[in-house]
Amino acid sequence: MKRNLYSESDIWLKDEGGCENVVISSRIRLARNLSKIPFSTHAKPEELANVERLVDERIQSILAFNDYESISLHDVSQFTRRYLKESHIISPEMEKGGEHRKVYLSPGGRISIMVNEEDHLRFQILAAGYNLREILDELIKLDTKLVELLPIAFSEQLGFLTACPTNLGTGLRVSVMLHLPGLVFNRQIEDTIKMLQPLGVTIRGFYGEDSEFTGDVFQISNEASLGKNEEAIVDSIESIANKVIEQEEEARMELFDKRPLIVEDTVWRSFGILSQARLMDTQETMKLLSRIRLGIERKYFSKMNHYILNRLFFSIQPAHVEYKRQTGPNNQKRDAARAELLRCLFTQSGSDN
Amino acid sequence: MIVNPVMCMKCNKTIATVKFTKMVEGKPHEIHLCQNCAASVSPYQPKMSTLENTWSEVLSQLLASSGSAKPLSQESKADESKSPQEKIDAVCDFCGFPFENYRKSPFLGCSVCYTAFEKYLINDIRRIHGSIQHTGRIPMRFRKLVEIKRSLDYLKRELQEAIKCENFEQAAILRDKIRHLNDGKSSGD
Repeated sequence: MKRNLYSESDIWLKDEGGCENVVISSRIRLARNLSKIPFSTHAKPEELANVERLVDERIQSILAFNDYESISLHDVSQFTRRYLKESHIISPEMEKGGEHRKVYLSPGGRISIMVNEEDHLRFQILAAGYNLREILDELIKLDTKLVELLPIAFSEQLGFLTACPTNLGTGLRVSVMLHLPGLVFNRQIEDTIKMLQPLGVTIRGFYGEDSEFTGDVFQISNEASLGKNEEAIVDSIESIANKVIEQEEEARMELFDKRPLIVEDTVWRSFGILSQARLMDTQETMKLLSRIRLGIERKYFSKMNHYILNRLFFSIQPAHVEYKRQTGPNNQKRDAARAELLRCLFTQSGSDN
Repeated sequence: MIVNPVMCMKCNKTIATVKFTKMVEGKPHEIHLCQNCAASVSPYQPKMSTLENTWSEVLSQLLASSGSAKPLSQESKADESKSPQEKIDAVCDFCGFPFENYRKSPFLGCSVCYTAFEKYLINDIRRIHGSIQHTGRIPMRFRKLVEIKRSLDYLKRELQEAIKCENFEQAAILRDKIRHLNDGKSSGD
C-alpha cells in the first residue's frame, strides 16, 4: 500500500455535517453487475478474475484521476480487513477476504468501490453528519462514469440486476446512522422502532446487518429499491429520519427537563469510569461514550465535541486499538490499551470541569 | 409514550384513533386507522375468519404502498414462489443455475436468471419491493430502447381504448405510430 491506510481511513469523519446532535453519518451505496458473467456469489474463480480484470482495466481513468488506492483483499491480512470493516469502508462480507476481491479507496476513505462482493460492484460514499442529497449527487456522477465504461446488467422492467432480488431496481441503499440515547433512556425506543416497521425501513446497529444496538447507535435504511427513483428513496429516508430526529430531540428535552440530576449523574458516572478504569472492552466503552455524547449537548465538557465522539466510536474498535498500541490479538492487553487511551483523553478533557 | 399523533395508515388524512396489532412471523405489526377507515375495513362485527381475511388485505395493501417487505397475507404466501411445496425444475440457460438453489440462499446465478425464472420470481419481487417496475435511472445505452418501449406500451393502451370506444380514426393514427416506433426499434437494434 502506498499510503498509510490506517491513519487515513477515518478522515471522512472529520467533515462537518448537519444535525450533529443526533446524526453521526450518512451513507449511500449502489449495486451494479456486469452482464454475461455470473454474479460473484455463483461465479467460478476464473470468472471472478475476469470481473476483477475488466473493472481494473476500464476504470483506471477514474481511479488515477481521483488518486484511489487499490487494495486486494486476498493479499492483505485478516487484521487489515477487520480494520477496514471497523472503519465502515468494506462490508462484513468483504472482511472474509477471498480471491479476486478488491476495494478501491478514495483518499480519506470517503468513497469506496468494492469488487466481487455479492454483486460485481458495490460502491458507496460515506459522509459525516446528515448529507444525503449531496452524496447522492456525487454518487450518481460516479455511477454515470462507471456505467458508461462497463457492460452493466440492466432490464427495462427490473432496473439494475443484482445477485439478490432485494437490491433490484435502483440498486440503492441509503442509510443514516443515528445516536438515540434519549429514546433509549426514556424507554421510547421500542415505540420508535414500531413506528418505523411499517414504513419500509430496516433498522440495524453500528455494523449493519445482524449487529446489536451498542452505544445507542441505530442505522436506518430503505428496504425496497425498485419502484421509486433514487431521489424519492432518499426523500423518504430523509423524512423518516427527520421524524426520528424530532422524537429524539423531544426525548432529550424531556429527560433534561424532568430528570436533570439523573442525567447529569449518569453522564459524570460514565466519565468517572472512562477516566479511571484499567480494563475496558468495546461494548462497555460504546455504552459509556454514548452517555458522554449526550452530555456534550449540555456543554458538560468544554474540550469535547460531537466530532471527537464520533471518531471515538470508530477508534475504540478492537483492530483500531490493536493497531494504535500494537497490542497483538490479546484481549486483555487490548482492553488495557483501550482503557489507557480513554484515560488519557478523558483526564485531559475533564480537568477544567 | 408516543409523542406525536399517528396519521391513519389507510387514508393518511385523519388522525388514527384505532390501533390493531397483528402477529406476522412472530413479530407484532401495528396498524393505525381512523374511525372511518376502520369502519370500512370492518363495517359490521365480523366472524373471526372474516376479520382475519380483511386483516390480511389491509396489511398487505398498506405494506405494498409503503414498499415494505416481510409480512404477507395468507393468500399471497400460498402462491409465493419460495413456498416449499412445489418443486420447480427450471435451470438458467446461460449460467446453469437451478431455480431450486434460490430457495436455499437469497442469490440468483446471473443476470439472465431474471429472464429465465421470471414467472417464478415475479411475486417474490413484488412482495419485496411493492412494485415490479423500475422508475429510477437508466444507463445511457439503454435509454433509447426504454423510451421506445414505454411509448409503445402507452400507445398500445391508447389503441385498445380507442377501439373500445369505436373511435376508428384515432385507432388508425395510433396504429401508424406504433408501426413507426416498431420500425425504429428494429433498425436501432
